[in-house]
Amino acid sequence: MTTPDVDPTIHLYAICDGAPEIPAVEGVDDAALEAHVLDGLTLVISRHDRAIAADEAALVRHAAAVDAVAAAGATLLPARYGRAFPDEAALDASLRERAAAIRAALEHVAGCVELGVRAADPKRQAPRPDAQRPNATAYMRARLADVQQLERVAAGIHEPLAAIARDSVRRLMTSGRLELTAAYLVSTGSVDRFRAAFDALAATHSELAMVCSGPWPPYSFATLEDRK
Amino acid sequence: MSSSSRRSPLQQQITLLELVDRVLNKGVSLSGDITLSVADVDLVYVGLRVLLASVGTLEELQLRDDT
Repeated sequence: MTTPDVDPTIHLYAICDGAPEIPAVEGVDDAALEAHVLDGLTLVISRHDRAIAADEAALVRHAAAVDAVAAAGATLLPARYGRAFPDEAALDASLRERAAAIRAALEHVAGCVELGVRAADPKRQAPRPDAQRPNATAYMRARLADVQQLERVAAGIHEPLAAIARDSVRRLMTSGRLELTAAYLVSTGSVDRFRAAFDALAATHSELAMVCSGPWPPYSFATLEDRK
Repeated sequence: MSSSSRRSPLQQQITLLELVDRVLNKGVSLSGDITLSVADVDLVYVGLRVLLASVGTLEELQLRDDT
């Protein structure tokens, strides 16, 4: 019989401002959610006696637990999946190391949700070197013009939405086929306005497949790298 | 929070894709022990690639239906 990893671990779901109520939902691997309070922050955790799963179902469970805590009214930073802590001391040390950045990020996302936008044009193709563009210069000019046009389309979608949001991040693939992936931090009072703006943009871009997802907890705005 | 009624299959697929992307790649990252092996992440992304392929198919279907 093989021996699985039996070291106990703590799995982290979210870091909350203050002491919100933790809903009675089950987390990853059916474990109960617990609150671990430290320095005015509440960490939502579950305890496990072996390594937790790393499949789609486990990721969905993690996200559902974060959703439930956010739905109960907490201001929170969702935790990235795939880190574990051997005990509370390790968790506390790790949190204190980044406490200032965490507090700044919590303040930044307070009162907001995240909305995701994807826009794609699956039929579009980048220019290719061919008989009409017989040399490299002509091809590179055509490619540059194509990228600039993609940038214009993406800006036409992103900028009006970003104007409604407190913060935004966007990623644009310009390898021919347009693929815009963006996230917007939107105050709860502006969600309807954001959706209406999105619907209007989708109506004017009938050539694109556009989807607005969420509201999500602020995953895309809980990265601490820019707020050290 | 991320679910809502009356979503099309395309929206459901993209919502799952967005969920996995957020949970694995976004969110606050404290310096705990990394528990996902390269093989684990690869497995999740193999699943995602299948999903992406089906999302592309759905997009094409949607565009065809709209025209």
